[in-house]
Amino acid sequence: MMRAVSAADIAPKAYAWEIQATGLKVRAGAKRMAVDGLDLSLGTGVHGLLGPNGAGKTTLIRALATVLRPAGGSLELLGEPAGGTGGHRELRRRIGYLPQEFGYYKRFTVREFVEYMAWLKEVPDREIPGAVQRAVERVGLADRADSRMKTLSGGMVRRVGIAQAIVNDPAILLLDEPTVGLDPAQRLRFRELLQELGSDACVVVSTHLVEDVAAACTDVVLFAEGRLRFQGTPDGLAAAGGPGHVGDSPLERGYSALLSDSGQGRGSW
Amino acid sequence: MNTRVLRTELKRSVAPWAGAVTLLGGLAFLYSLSGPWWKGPELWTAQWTSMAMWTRSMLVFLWPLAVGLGALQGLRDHRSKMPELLTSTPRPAWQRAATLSGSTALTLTSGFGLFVLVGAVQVSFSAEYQHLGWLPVSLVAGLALVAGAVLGMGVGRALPFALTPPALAVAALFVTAVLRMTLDTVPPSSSLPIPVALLSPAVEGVRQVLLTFSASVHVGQTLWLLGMAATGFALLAAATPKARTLALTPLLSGAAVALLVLPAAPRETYVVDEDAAARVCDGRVCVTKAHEGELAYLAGPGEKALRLLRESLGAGAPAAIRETTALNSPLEPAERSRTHVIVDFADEAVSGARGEELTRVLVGLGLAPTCSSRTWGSSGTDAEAAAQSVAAGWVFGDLRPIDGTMHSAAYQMKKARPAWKKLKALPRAEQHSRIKAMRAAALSCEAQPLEALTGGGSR
Repeated sequence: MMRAVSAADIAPKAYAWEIQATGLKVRAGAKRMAVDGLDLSLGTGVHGLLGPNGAGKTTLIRALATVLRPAGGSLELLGEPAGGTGGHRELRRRIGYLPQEFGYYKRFTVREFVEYMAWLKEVPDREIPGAVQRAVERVGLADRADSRMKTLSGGMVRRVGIAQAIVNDPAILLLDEPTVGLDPAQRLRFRELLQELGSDACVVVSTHLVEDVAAACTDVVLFAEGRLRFQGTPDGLAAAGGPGHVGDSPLERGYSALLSDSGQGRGSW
Repeated sequence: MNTRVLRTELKRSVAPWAGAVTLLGGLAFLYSLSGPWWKGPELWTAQWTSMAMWTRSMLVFLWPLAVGLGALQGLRDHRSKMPELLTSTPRPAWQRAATLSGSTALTLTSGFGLFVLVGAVQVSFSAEYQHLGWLPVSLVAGLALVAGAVLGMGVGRALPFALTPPALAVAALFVTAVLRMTLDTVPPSSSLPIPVALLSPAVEGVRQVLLTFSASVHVGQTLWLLGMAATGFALLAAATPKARTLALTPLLSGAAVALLVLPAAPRETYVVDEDAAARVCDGRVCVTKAHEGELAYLAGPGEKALRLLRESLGAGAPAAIRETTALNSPLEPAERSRTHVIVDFADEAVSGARGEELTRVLVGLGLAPTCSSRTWGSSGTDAEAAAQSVAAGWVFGDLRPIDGTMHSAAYQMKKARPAWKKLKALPRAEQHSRIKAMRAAALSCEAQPLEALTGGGSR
């Protein structure tokens, strides 16, 4: 099924980067500044957001999803300042978001839930059935579309989470730990899907699995203590590591190398 | 509003349960229990207003259920851990709130509407007096269910704890159980200030078929319930603590305005429905419009009773028969009149008799008017029934008990026979003055008519 091409799809972009942060500060809770002076520019493609636990990955993604308001610096999403007052209604229509802790209505069927989310994202009414069917097919749940959410396995629920995130064909797709609960086969399929999606959208995938990044990402963003440590291709990340660094693969060694400067990622868990 | 989403909510939220509970709960209560709604002229399917009042009286438990189910629904987002995802979506929160509360409102009003319809179909076949004056009673009931459920949703969302729904349901039950008026007094009264008691969405059922709510009760309750619904809706859509605090404004201002609008005088709460109480006459026999159908069997015996009374009492005899329209209570003397025979169809001695027997009852009522009302499931005193049977016996020439009271024939006769013998032993002129003395005693309600008859009692 093909979706009608809307004016927004073919209009020239009025911005250089889908996501542009300058000196961005975001608080997690009342005190802790989890993102502290981040400069980051992300365009079309799949960006793997790597970093140790507590690095502020989730806080950053929540700010990108307009759930958290930045405490300082500037954040522009699709050329629009995000963080001022106002509902960001126009902007939110073009964002897809899978939270780390994905909540869902257990009594809804898969189709009903994705439909509901499409409605909340203000997908035009007549396009909803087609968009829902396409999203459900893309995550391989077409045969379970009419099952209740509470009957699904953890991996299936995760895939519904991905389906609801992509149902509005977002220009910015934010996936926080999307591969948790997926089995190896599903993970492979998911990487393919990521590559498809990254061809015309800015996809940010937060993960702690370095091999996901290697396989599916065009770009790696290494993030620690609220700041950018590295941005470049997976090969670039691998090149940073040497035989003396901890890790089973070049990427892991690169990861360790870049984090070891600050004492992170080494010694303790 | 997207119809698919509305349909999903209709299927997956508490909406279907709320509708089913309202319909089946109401019907189950009315049909499985034998209460005053099955008896006499207050029968819930006998009159439109009675039907509306009895169905609304079920709000005593239906309303707390609606509030509790609403609160359960209000917990859904929190329990499903959805707020994070919901915050990132562009659609304004009030539209989400509208779909959710709209679906429950739809099923609640449908459920209650069907419940009323079950009664309405029966009333439309049985009632002589067809009117729409009952409609506000049921409309306010429907509004109360919706407002309660929406308030429940709002509170459930603002206070997302597992205990919120049961606590709220119990609080609502407390409201319907404590805020109430009693119809046992004339005029109706309450241990609380009247306007406060009228904030309860439930009603007291039917004690007198002619009673209905005054317009100011409907208006005041509507304002209060609209405020309640607005607060519930605002809480459901509110995202910040400040918005939640502001959301309480409609509830409080609705209550304030309602307390001003709701009548403070007991006589302006449950009032006699003037249209229903309009007089319909056949000759000298008059009933209310609500009981127009009873005229067919009352007119003939009534006319005959008036003739017999005239023959036995002479100039002082009652000149006409009319149905009582006064507020009555088991604690107060019934309406009596020197010039009229007053009948009450709630008195089974009247509504249960036909033909000659009815004539006898009416003659008895004309000579010894009932003082302790034979309504409300009470049968007056046995002495009054005995006095009436003696009085009627004196006119008809033979002593027979009055049927339709709970005082058995034997019991009545035990009291009536000595008086009857004493009376018959007197000369005719003396009998006459004794009968008149009995009538005066009954009308005054201060002396025992039977004692007046035998010349015994104090006066």
